[in-house]
Amino acid sequence: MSGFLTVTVLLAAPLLLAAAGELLLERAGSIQIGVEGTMLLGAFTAFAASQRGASPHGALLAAASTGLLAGGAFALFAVAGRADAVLVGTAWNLVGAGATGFGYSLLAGATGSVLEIATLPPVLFGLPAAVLVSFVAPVALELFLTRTRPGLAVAAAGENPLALEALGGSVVFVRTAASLVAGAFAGAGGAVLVLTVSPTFVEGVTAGRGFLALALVVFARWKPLRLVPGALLIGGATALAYRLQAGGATRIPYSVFLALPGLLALAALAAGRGRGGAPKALGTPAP
Amino acid sequence: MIASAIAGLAPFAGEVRVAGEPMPVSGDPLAFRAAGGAFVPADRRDEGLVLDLSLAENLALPAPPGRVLLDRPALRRRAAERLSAFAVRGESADAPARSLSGGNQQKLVLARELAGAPRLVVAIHPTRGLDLAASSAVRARLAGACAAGASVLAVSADPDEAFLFRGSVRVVYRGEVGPALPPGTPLVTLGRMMAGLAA
Amino acid sequence: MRTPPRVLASLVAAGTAVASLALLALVAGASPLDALRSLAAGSLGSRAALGETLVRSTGLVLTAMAGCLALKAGVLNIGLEGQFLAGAAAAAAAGAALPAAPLPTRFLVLAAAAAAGALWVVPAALLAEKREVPEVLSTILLNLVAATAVSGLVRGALRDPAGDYPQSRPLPDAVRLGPLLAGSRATAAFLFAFAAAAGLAILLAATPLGLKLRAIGLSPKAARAIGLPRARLRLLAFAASGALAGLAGGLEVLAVTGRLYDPFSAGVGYSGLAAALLGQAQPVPSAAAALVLAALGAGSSAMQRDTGVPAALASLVPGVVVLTVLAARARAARSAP
Repeated sequence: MSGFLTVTVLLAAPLLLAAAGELLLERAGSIQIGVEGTMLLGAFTAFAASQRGASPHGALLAAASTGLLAGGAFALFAVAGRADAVLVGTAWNLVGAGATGFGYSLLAGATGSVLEIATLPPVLFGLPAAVLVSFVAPVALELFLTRTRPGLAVAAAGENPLALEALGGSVVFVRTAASLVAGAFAGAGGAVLVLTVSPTFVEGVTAGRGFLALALVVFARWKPLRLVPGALLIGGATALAYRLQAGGATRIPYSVFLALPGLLALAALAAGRGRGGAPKALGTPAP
Repeated sequence: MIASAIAGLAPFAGEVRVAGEPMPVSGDPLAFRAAGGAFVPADRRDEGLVLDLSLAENLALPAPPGRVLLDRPALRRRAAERLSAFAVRGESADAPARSLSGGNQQKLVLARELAGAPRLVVAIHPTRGLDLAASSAVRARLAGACAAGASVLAVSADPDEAFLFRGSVRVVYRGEVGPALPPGTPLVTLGRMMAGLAA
Repeated sequence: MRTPPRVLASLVAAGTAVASLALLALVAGASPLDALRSLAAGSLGSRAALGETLVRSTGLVLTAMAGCLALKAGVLNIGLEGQFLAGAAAAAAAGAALPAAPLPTRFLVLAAAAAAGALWVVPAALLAEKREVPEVLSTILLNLVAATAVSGLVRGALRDPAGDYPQSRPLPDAVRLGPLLAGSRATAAFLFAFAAAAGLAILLAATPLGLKLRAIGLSPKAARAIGLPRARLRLLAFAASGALAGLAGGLEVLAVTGRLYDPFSAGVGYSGLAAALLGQAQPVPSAAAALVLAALGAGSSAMQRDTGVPAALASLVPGVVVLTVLAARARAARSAP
């Protein structure tokens, strides 16, 4: 696989994972704008675990576990606790940034030098297994939502929570489960980020990818398969920006390409019909 | 649906005339009000009032007195007048609207809407959820507005009540407006028309 | 006797803050008492410290006020960070280009900053109005774009040719605000912050416009039925909160840094929003919360220096406190009818 394409795919993978998890959660009717914080926590966990001697896959697992806990915390506050999900998510981003900054200062100390960690080993086409899995995830999610009974429960929780409750289901349970999975995915996404392209951790390493994942879900109209083209587009724009930054003098400043993902997401939101396709009960508290 | 549209909440094609003068057609609630419209929505808690504001503040909307600073004395005066005129019973003018009973909440809505001598009053299910006394008080207010020169369009899902509103009664079934029915029309006939069966 | 909810919430907040500070200090291998002591010293213990707190409070109070205004009107403007950066960029550009006449230039610089902040939120406001795009998403995306825009500007259009560090050309000394307290960085800028807090408090409580904004925030569905111009009021709330956040950015350049660089904001937009959440969107309590956050930020670098406890807890602790307060409030709302 050509270098540029590889980098594009590597950059798309964290986004896909985080977006897939968030899509699941939103289909269940909740929304976690703090997914950026969870990705950061996952990235840091992977970094810290590697520093402590874990293998790259061990680090990935640790990160997914942290993400799971993060999803649990979110569910505690926003689903079971019925606090406003947007506000909880905003606070969660602060927690993620602060906790990882805190942890990184403790771990890296006053060295200031960049600490490198091992990367995930390539398996196919020069891509690690985790990255390949991240492209399978949307397909699995689509099948889950449309062909399985738990998947239908998730859809019900998002479209008509009262009906689900009337049938004996528990919206809180479904949304909590979705939050746990979404958290694990986001944590894994953060880990893939630091275990592939730039194998180190810096404060704010996710650089807004969690927010882009949120936009990606809207862009995909809450249909899992549509996540893939958007993620590749954003990955490609970022890869281009890195190349220009490294390459040096061009007429177009590389910052334009760094801004491109955000601008593309905005354009997609504007072109689409905003809430068209959103689960009807999205953002409402559980009955 | 038709009633809400007339009140400006939804756009529609066609014309509305009150006493021969046309009303604005677009789905613009502000234009509706500017032309002398008043609206009593079906859901007094979510649509009719701002429950967490006080009685006085609710009465002051949408145009509170004062240019830069709020004219609180005028606000209070207006509130006192209207609350007593419409017999709204609550703790005080500064109590939140949430604290009123259903009947008094509806009276508050009427106090706000009918105070400005409107040309057209659209009231949707105005007596829903109210007890007998409150219902008859609401109907009396609407009749009073009629007597003061307004045209009143009231929508009700209760056939028992239909003729208690003075004025012409029509049954709307699936968007089709039926003919005006004479006052003696038996309840059975009303019921059949509401179910779409021939009278 | 039941404690009034506001007192309870403040106690919960304070208790959580102290407990988490202590816990984090222990994790970092320091004594909680030492950490708290150096926090206090670094934020209030000397003229320089006090000055530092005041410097930080300007941006935080203004963004908190921007957050309050938006929240009261029911507008979810999470884009304060980007609006802050837009204001800072506008101020840096204007300040370096305009002549060095103190009064008119300062006015123009701040006006440009406020305008830039308001303009930066307009796309989100329009998308929300015309296309029903949730402003939560669009304002956050604009934050991302703003950050990269600043990065590009300091390396490109606004770049200072002197020196090789990417930053903008400095504002002339005559234009920059001079220090108020000798030996500190504090300037008269914080007066803006307190004026904004007082002004907003009056606006919301004692003006017809404030009443209308509160009404659409409390009952969006009733707004249309009652005859309030909801769209216009929301646009106003968006623009005004953007302007306040932009003003904060402009003051940061005018009074503190004198120029734009990358990265410029330490999350002021998000911290100000957190303060607004803690204060339940009421201007005075939110300004108080912002002051506490400012003190925390000022003291934390001293704390890191003296005890080794990382300064990042100045973001972590507020986040945790907001979560706890949100949970406590949600629980209280559910137990009371």
